[in-house]
Amino acid sequence: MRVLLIEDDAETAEYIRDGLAEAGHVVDHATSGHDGVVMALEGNHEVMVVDRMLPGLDGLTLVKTIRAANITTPALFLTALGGVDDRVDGLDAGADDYLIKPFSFAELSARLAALARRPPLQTEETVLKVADLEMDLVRRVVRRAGKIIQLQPREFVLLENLMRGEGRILTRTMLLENVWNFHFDPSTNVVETHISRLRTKVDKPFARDLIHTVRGAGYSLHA
Amino acid sequence: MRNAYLRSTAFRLSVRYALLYSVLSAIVLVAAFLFARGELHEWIDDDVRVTHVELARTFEQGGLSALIAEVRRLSVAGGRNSMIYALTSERGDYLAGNARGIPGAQSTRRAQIVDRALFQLDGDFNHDVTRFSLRAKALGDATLVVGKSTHLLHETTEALGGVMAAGLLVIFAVGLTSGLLVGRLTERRIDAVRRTLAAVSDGDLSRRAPISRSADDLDRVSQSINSTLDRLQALVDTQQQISADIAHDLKTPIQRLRQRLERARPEGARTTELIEKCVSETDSIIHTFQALLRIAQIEGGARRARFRSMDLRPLCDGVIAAFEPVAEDGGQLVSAELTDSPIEVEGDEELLTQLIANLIENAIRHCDAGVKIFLSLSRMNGSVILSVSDTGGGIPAEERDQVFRRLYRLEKSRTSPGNGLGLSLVKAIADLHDAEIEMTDNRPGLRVDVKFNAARSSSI
Repeated sequence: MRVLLIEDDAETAEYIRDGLAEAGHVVDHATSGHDGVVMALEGNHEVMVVDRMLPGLDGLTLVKTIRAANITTPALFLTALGGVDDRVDGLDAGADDYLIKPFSFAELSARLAALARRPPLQTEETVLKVADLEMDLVRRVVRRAGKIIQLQPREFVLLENLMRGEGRILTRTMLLENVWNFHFDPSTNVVETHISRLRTKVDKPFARDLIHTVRGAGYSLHA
Repeated sequence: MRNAYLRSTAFRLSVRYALLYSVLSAIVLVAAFLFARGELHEWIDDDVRVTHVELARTFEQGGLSALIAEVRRLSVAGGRNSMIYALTSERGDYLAGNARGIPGAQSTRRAQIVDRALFQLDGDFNHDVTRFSLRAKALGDATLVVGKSTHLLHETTEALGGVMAAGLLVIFAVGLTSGLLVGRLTERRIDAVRRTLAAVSDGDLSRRAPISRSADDLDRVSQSINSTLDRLQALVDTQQQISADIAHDLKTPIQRLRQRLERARPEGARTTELIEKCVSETDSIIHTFQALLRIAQIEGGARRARFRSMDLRPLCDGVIAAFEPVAEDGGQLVSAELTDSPIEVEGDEELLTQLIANLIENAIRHCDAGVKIFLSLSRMNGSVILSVSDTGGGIPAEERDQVFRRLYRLEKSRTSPGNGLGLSLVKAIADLHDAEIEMTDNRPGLRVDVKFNAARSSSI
């Protein structure tokens, strides 16, 4: 995919650019807010990474400006450590996701993938299917190989997240945000515990595992 | 505000002194009035007695006939001097004078006041002469009654009484009004100082108490307060600057360290393992750093602008759902008792969720297997109380205040994971919401109550 990176810190930019290039993505890099706007207005990127603090035009104004110009490219906001208000400010300005510096590359990569492949709103599915696992979103029923699996409400949401991101990595933080609406890092292993419960119900009684742990990154559901 | 003024020291003192001065003035004026009246009365009575003595001398020198002649002479001018005379014989016959039929005249040895209407007056007496102060004296077989009009006494005391009553009223009114005014002014100045301190304790360190031109005692107090605040602000500024400098100087190196470690391409399995350990150590530094900065920002009042009214029940449900399996894996039981009706507070959803989560996690992490953890929401006197209790080991009473300190860890939990910032964050979030935290003994275990005030008052 084609990524627009707007970041003034050379080392961070290199870190992101090299990582993305290695994964086979094309990166356009802007080092100032003004250059960023010009490049974003071309509108030929699948996703963009915007730093909060930029020389010239700051990240918030940049996102607001391009949104006002009807550029809908999904934007991931990079915020400084400890910025309590940054997430809400960023989302208010029109960003789609945020990440606190410093972050692991796996986290950034997983979030960019999720943003780029966000399904269009009009084609909302009612049934999710991965291999022999089926989720009926209307009746809220989960079946594997025809057998009904009883899930707790949060387990259902967790599985739904994993199935929607089939084949992609979902990081611990992404799951905390999407499933529990936790925008902080709990000190107990909430995600691990719930994943383990889900595995007991979804994978254990069957021959093949669908939920996979990706070391140092997160979880992925695929056949 | 109005009631606060009525309860204020300034108001009570001014009313008290106004009353005290009025009572004292009243005592002095009444005493002066009584003394003046007594003196006047004495003066009238003296006239009567002198006349008696002179007439007695006439009687001794000239006998009854001379006395009768003198009394007649005096009676002619009696009206002009407002004097009355009555000379009666032993049998009660009226011998001479200008006042007939004075009731009880024979027994009037001492000065006595008698009304004009009770006897008959001869001569030219003024209309305002209504009463007489009179005395009787036995001269031989006859009795001589001499009296003097008291109208001077009445008129003088009437005028004096009126003036004094009016004066008393004026003293009371002026005393009370000026007392209230002075009280009100003092109260206003004290209130200005109080509001300054309230604003400062709310985090606005730039506020200062007003100083008037009079340089009085209140101004000296205000000056002391202001110089204390100057010093405090300087200290806080320095501290914040240091924190900001540290944060700024550390942010980038930590970020680069992590990025470089991740990009390092290790050769052998041993190097990979070492680098992974370094990455995880860096992550824990970042985690602590993030929490410290977050606390600092929350304490700085960030987010308050985004407060909105929300029901606490779904937040509690969400947290319980997240941690229930975690507790169960540790052999603990987490349960909640929420109300049927919404429990609303003004606040920030993200931060309140973290507050509840941190309290539950704190209980899970510090309690052994078999412990029950209980979350409840209740209303009391219009306040909302969110309470997390456990049946674990508890915290010794003397350590309860300290657990909110940054990076504080109880001796027994030093070896367990965690950065000692969970409860500091809880405290910072509670403070931001004007909520009070109370830790009590759950017998056994610990109970933490977070009390949200019903109406977040903006005045204090």
